[in-house]
Amino acid sequence: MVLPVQIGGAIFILVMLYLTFLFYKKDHYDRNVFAFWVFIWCIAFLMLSFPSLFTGLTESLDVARITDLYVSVALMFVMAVTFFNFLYVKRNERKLEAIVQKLALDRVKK
Amino acid sequence: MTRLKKTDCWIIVSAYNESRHIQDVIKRIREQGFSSIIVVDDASRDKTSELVKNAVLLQHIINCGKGAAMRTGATYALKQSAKAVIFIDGDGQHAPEELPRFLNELNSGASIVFGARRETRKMPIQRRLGKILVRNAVRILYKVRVHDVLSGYRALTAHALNKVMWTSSDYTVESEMIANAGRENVRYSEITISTIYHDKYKGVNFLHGFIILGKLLWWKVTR
Repeated sequence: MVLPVQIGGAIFILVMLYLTFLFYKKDHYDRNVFAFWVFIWCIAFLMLSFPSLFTGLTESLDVARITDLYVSVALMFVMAVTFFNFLYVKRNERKLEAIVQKLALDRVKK
Repeated sequence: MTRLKKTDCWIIVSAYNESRHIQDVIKRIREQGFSSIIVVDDASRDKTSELVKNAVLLQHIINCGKGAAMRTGATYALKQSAKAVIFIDGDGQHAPEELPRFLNELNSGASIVFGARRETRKMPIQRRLGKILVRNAVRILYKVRVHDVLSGYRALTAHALNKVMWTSSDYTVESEMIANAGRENVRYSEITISTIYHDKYKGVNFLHGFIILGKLLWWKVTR
């Protein structure tokens, strides 16, 4: 029996796959990054739609349900992405300030 | 140590949307005998930069924050071989008439002179609470006894400026400067300055106090 949450999750993943493809076509990232995210979305789709495929994994990790594993992995992934976003934002902020300062000093008006 | 003259001092005015006050601030600075003035316009959206006359104008093309503006001004002043700098806000809340007192205090041996606003009933309550919180944190963490940690009106010798150069781009710059001064054991003093508030909602408030407190702890741990 297909649960409503599986349908909702599948729609979400399909939308994300589409967006991944769209931004790839708009040259936001290269083929390797595109392939990586397609792989991630496919794994997510499989876990959501065919949880029985992962019974062996849940047993070896001593997790009661595939959903629990799903949520745990997703949470860790989100935290890692947040951390790297923070790093990149800080780095870009510094670069931006360096450029702004250089321009201000080069265009001094006396 | 040779006595600093007014011509040795660069006055750094950071300004953001201060078209109402900037001309008056520059005029009053010049009336005190200081002619080396830098105005750093932090991408104002009003006519601030157009109104700057008789001063060096440095313009940020995007708004980067007070700390970034002060750093740009300080970098320029050091390139001009300034022996001392005095930071003053462009919103008229720092009286330029007190500039000579900062210079006198630098000549008395201090490497940094902090301006401390008198606490009056005019000072908004949220600012008073924020000040108390941050003041005590600085005293405990950095052993610096400064009555007004958040006042941006301060004078530094060029040597001290290099020692306390900051990375903050926002309103935490004043606190970082004091934290760096404490860590580097820079000789400092404090003078009382007038308390002028045009806008009680402007500036740092009690909530900002918590952010500054967090940063003070972060700097203590990471540096």
